[in-house]
Amino acid sequence: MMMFTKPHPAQTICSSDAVFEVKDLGVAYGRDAASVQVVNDVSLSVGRGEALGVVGESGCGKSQTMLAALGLLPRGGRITSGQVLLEGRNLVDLSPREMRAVRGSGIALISQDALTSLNPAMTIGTQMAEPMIHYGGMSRSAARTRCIELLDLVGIPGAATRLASYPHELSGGMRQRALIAMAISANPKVLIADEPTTALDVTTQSQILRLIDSLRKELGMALILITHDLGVVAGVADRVAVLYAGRVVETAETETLFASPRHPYTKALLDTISQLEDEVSERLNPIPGLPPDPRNPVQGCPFNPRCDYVREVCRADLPALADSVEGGRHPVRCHVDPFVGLSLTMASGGAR
Amino acid sequence: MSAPAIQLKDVSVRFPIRKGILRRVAGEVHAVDSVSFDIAEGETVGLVGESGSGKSTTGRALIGLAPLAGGTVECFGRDLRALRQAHGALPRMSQIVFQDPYASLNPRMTIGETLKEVLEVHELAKGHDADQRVGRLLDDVGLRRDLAERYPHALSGGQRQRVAIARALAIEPKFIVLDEVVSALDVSIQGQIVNLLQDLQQDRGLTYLFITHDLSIVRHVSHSIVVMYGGQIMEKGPRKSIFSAPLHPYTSALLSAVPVPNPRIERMRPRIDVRSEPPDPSAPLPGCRFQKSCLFATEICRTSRPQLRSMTGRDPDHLAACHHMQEPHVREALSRAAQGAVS
Repeated sequence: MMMFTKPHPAQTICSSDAVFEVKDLGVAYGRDAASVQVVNDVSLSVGRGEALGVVGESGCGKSQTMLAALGLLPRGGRITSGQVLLEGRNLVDLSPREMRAVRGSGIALISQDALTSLNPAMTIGTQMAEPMIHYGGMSRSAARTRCIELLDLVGIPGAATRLASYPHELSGGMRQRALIAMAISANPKVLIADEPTTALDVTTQSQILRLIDSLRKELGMALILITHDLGVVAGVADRVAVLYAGRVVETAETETLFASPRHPYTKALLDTISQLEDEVSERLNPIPGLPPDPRNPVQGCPFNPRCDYVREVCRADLPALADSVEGGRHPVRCHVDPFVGLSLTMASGGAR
Repeated sequence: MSAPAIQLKDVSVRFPIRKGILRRVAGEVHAVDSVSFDIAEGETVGLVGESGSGKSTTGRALIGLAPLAGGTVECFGRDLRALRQAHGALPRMSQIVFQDPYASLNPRMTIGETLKEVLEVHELAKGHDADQRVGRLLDDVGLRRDLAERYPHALSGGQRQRVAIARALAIEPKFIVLDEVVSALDVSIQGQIVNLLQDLQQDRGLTYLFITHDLSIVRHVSHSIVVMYGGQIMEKGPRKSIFSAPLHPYTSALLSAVPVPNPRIERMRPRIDVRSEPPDPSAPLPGCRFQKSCLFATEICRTSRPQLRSMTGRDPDHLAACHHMQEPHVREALSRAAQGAVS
């Protein structure tokens, strides 16, 4: 039976008690002149029982970072720099065989599309039990008992009968639950949920999010929730990292980030959402333009072509990820801060 | 008020379920069941519901892409079925834009060819004239003219969706069904597309049916809202009163499931949950379609189908189909959830 250890209270951004850490990670596709850098100097850390939200638009590198961490980069992709540490052990140097042992019991992944993640030709029970028998050395009957226990835990009614179902016989929400059950089956220390609710209806989305959140608290797992939706992060994450064009542009405690965003991109994302809440404003004020194409990187700050606060320096130099002058751990990658930081605080403090 | 642009009366759509090697019809899926609503000219109706609620099928029925099993659709005062029998095809007044512009654009045709094809098939323009029109269409949707030379794969999701909108505009329709048009796009791009659609509506007096599961977008674009569940309308009415005081438990559940982008509120607010799986459309239950998922369901919900009605002392245009919507304990739970949802 698994141990249910109570998590530490989330210890801010201190990396010393991090169970999982990505340090200065770089990921590129292709070789030499044709090489395209999709992730640059990304550092993230998450503590035991803590939930980290990783937010960004499609193409910002959020999924690439996680695939690299899991050793699952598709053909052509490679880690160009940095480390991935699980309880202090660097995963980047592990052989594929050693990495297989890490996946599942060390780090587990829940992906967006449960239908393509599950084998359509195998029953839920068979595919859940397979790794338990092969890797966990369990007997068939022990695995069956454990499967029922897990399906119960993720709220699938009639777990024993559901083992014989094929994926297509389950609804989208139930498939996502089955996938979650598989992900937690080997008691992972870190659970990575990559857009786990994007394909689901809004009512199911809210149930799945609450399920993931309660499992994290119950099992003391660290959770990394990857999403493009800041609303999803608001309810679950303790801290949030915002990614743009393959780089972390801002990291903060969730409440701080929503109350006083420092990076113009974060502010623009939050504005976009709050405008939708607001019935009075008839016309939206979206972020203009498109995210940059990694094949043609932008000179200077990658957000400068879309930024309302752009200055000359932003077009020349890439800003470093620096702590705020006001103190407190709230690093931001922006030249214009602290001016932007102050004005953002004032602008959003009253509204929210 | 003038007659509505689009009028649905008791519209039903059923699909046969075929079984066995002879493909005999073994039953029917009741995708849409007696749905009635109007869309005023130049306005937008937001059609909301989860997958399988019949919202997309309703949209398709409106432009003749799904067969009507019952009821009538009137498009600018003309009966859709009669038009079809008279002309063999529907006149050029309605169009549809789908969720996934990548799947709905031909990958082997350039953007220019795709748009030109529409103009030529409908005999609206030929040759050089058509090229000119393609250029103007691209202008209209805010794309550079040189994109006409490109193939869909070279465009971003937002650009592709603009092309899909341009293609719909090519025949100069008066009514457009927008089926989840922004759902697949990033938040920052969604706003751009929504603005484009609203500009086009204002300039040309277009009438929209905006189908989505995303309540925050629908709230922004719609004049009125229709909420569907299990093929039937649960609630309909003006946007404001639906969002501020929903009458139906399902609408309330939908609203309370939308995450609020404020951590403090999001973690504290009360919720109305949906309890079970959506109903099986091939074996519709008697009574209310929402009965199995409803927190307030009683015996009457299992036996008799609730009719759409307004609530005493409320907006008479705001209708809901619920036996219990007038009862104090239901009102109280719903209003508590609604207050939580309004940040």
